[in-house]
Order: sequence, then C-alpha cells, then structure tokens
Amino acid sequence: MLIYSFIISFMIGISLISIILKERTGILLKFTLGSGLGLAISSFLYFLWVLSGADFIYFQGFELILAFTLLFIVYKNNTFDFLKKTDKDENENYSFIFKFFQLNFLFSLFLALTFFFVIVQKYPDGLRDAFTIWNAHAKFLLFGQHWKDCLTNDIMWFHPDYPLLLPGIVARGWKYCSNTSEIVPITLSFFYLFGTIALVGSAIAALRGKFQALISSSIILGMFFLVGCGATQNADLPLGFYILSTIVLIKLYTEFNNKYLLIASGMAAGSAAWCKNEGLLFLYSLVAAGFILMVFSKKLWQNRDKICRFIAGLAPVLLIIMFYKLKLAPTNDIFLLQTPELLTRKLLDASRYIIALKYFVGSVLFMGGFASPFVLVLYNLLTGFKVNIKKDFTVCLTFLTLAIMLFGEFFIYIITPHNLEWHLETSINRLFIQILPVFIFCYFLITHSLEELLDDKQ
Amino acid sequence: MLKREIRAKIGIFVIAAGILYSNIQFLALNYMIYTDKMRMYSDSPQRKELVGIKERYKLLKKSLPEHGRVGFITDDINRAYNSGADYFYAQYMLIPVLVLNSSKPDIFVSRFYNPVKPEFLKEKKLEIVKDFGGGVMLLRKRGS
Repeated sequence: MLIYSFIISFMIGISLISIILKERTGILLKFTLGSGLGLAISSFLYFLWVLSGADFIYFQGFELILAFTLLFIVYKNNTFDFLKKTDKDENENYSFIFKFFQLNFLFSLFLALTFFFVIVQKYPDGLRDAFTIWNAHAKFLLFGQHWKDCLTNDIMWFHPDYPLLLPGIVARGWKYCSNTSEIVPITLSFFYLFGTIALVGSAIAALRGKFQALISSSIILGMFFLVGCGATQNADLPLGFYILSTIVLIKLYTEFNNKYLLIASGMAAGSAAWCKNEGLLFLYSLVAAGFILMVFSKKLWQNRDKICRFIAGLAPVLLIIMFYKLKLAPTNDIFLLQTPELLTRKLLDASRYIIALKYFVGSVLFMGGFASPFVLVLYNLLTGFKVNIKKDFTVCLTFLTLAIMLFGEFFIYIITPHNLEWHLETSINRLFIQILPVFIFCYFLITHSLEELLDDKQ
Repeated sequence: MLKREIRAKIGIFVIAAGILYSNIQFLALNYMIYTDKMRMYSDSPQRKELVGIKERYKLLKKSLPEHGRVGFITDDINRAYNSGADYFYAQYMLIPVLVLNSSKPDIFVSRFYNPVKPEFLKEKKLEIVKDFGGGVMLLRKRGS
C-alpha cells in the first residue's frame, strides 16, 4: 500500500506537469517537478479530507479518479514525452573532462546514498524536529477526530502552529498502510533529498547542458550537512525543493513562454508556504521581489495576465493556509512571547546584530559542508559568467527574493524570545539548506558552461 | 591577463578539486559515523539507545484514555529534555494524548533514570499506578 500511495500521488503530479509542460525538457525534470507537486496536492487533499470528517474510502476514490482523469488527458493530448530526447541530449559531448565529471558524480552519489542509509539506520525516527514536529503532527492528523487537540501552545515545543504539508503526506501514507511505520517518512525524505538533486541537475541539463548539470549536482551531493538534513527528516529540504520548483518553473516560463507554467509555479510557491513558516516568508519575499522588479522596469500593468496566472495557481493553496493559520493554528512562539518593550530593547541592542551577523557569515562559509564557497567564486571568476539584468528576469527575481528572505530571517533572530546564540546555533545552517539548491541552480544558469567554453576554443 | 582558454582550464581544475575534496571529506565522515567513531547529532538518541523505551511507552499508552492530557515527570530534567529527548519521545509515542510539561494534570507518565525513592514520590504527592520498567511509569496524584 505504501508503493500504491506514492504511485497515486506521482501519477497526479506527473500527469499535471505533462499537460502543462509540453516542451521537450527530458523525463527526469518532469518526473521530479511532477512528483513533488503530486505529493503536495495529496497533502492538501488529505487535509481537506480530515476537515470534512468523511470516510477514507471517499478520499481514496477521489484520488484515484483524479489520477486516472489526468492520465487520460495526457494520453488524449499525447504529451507524454518519456522516450523523446531533448535538444541538449543530441549534442552530447563525451570528452575526457566530461567523463571525469561523470565518474565524479557517480562517486558523489554513492557517498550520499551510503550516508543516507547510515543515518537512517541510526536515526530511523529522524532528529528531534522530525518526530516532535512533522511526524508528531502526522500522528495527530491520523487520529481523525482528536487531531485538533495538538493545536495548542500547551505543547509549545511541538510547534503547533507549523504548516501541515509534510504531516499531511506522512499521515496519508500511514492511513494507506494502516500503521505508523517509519518507512513512510524515510521514503519521503529519500524522495525530497534525491529529488532536489535531480531537479537541480535536470533543470540545468535542460537549460544549460549536461556538463553544467553534472557539476551542479555533484556540488550539492558533496554537501554532507544537506544530505544529513535530508536523511534526518528535517523539513528544510522539502521546503528547499518547493522553493527550487517555483523558480525552475518561472525560468521554464521565460524560456518557453508557456503561460501555464506560471500556474504551476504559483502552486509550487503555495506548497512552499504550506511546508514551513519560512516558506510563507519565501512567498512574501517572492511577491515583493516580483513587484519591485516590475515597478522598476515599468512593466507592472503589462504583466497583469502573468500575475493573474501565478495567483490562479497560488490562490487555492493560499486559502487553505489562511484558513489554517487564522482559524485553527495557535500563535507562533516567536510572537507569543513578546511585548512591545522587549521588542524595542532587542531591536536597539547592537550586540544582537553582531552575534547574528557572525553566525550568518559562518553559515555562508560553511555552505552545507561543501569544500568552500570560494571554489565557486574562483570558478566563476576564471570561466566567466553572463547575466543581463534587463533580460534575465528569473535570476534577478531569485537573488532579490533570497536577499529579502535572509533580511527577514535576520530580524526574526534579532527579536527571538529564545536565547539568541542557542536559536542561531540550532537553526541557522538548516536555514541555508532551504536556499542552497535554488542558489546553486541560479549560479549555474549564469556561469559559462563547458560546451560554451569548448565552442569558443573551436 | 591569462588567455580565456587557460582560465577556463584552471576554472575546471578548481571546481574538480573542490568536488574531490568534498568527496574525500564525505568518505571520511561516512566511515567515522558508521563505525561510531564520531557522533554527528549529539543531542538525539540513536536507535540502539531507544531499545525497549519505545515499546514501554506503547504498553503505557494502552493504560491511558483514548485522548486527553497527562503530565510528565523525571528525575533528570537535562537528560529528559535535552540529551535523551525522552519527554519528546513520550509525547510522540503517546499521541493523541497530550503530554504536558506541567504539574496540573492528575495523571503523569515518567522517565526516571535512577531508582525512584519513596520520599521523592511523597514530596510530589504522587503514587505509582503501573511500572513498565526502565523508569517508565504511570503515576497519579494522591487522592485523585
């Protein structure tokens, strides 16, 4: 039943993406984008089913009908391009350097897989955040009528206000399996970890060629902290996955001018917001960054139909989130334990800024455990990069969004009611894990590829 | 100024070296963690350290009402809430019952690390309802 539950979710998402994304982009990109969206859709449906209090058979029936309806549309439109090759595939370059990086990638993948299973074997319930927040909420969701009992600040350390994307998927898997096996969250964490790496690689392969894809995926695979974060069932990587999906879909829209991709992008952004509170911050930052860029380029009115499409994808998800946050969830601990005097005192305390800045710089330098961020700086300086601020909307949008997001996070730390150093120490590196995949994606979008460098030589 | 071709070659060498370095670092980490020479997550208990405890909470759950609120008591706050994370495991295993970090409820679940002294229970006005072993007990307030 576990495999069945995943297949149904994947069928929904992959079919939906195949209907929207008709362009030839390769099987892996559609599979990863679609599977992630499928899981998110299943999570929303499960949450709505819990609210409805209906029998589980109706939920199963609805999912099955939805999956086969979407599959039928794909079949009728003949948009399954599983066996088609992308244009980039046809220009494969099997030089020595390419083969060397291919081997390197396989070795990195082997190490990451080994690490994943070693950690899972030692921590099958994940780390504390996994079983006290995500899987605990999933258990409450599983026990139907009493699930709202957990929405109280009497168990504040279980973060009762956190969004329910992951708990929804886990509870759904458990419901299908009729038990609370640890295999369900482990399988999910496997998907989100290797799905994120596959999404970066496949999106870069479709947009910039295989060599860039190999390097970018190898770099993410080399971040042991990121792999550990995935293996220990933290929600930061699923959030990173949905942030990345949002940006990849916007980039694919600018590449293919397929406006339906903006609807999918809105759905992905909503999924990020339903994944973690930081996802809500990402959504606000994305909207703010988009608004700023459009106002500065004087194209706000011109882009109204695109904005509407993004909102069309986002709206249903946002309504669920608003209902949950406004009607059900208790106040977040960061804001619950505040008074105006405390806030003012913290905001005016210079030492807090210095401490937070120190940790932020430390996290940038740590870069998820990769050799050093200076390698990327040096590589960029040596091989060169191309970015046209006026033309490359996605890259500008991403970097501005990330800047606003980090600015917001920085101030959350400044006003935190908890011990500042403890709060930073326990969360700052995970915070960067949320944005590293999308950062690597954008970095390799603007860096010259080996193919371009070889072409120049010829 | 170096030629573009040479710069590109150096660039590819730099990135290859970076990835190789990360892989070697990762390989060493894999070995250290697998052989228990290093502990990556010091404040979380490993599977072998939880042997028996999860089963005891499962048994205890059968003695609790279907839902409601119970308190949590321990003789080592630091271990129960930090290094051992037992309070969090107790809550996770006993869902949908809420395990509160409070003395208000009439029923308590425990995680004691040392043998329980009668004076301790007397001071807290508690009595043992059932002992599940390993410091996991079901207790209630005297007279409730």
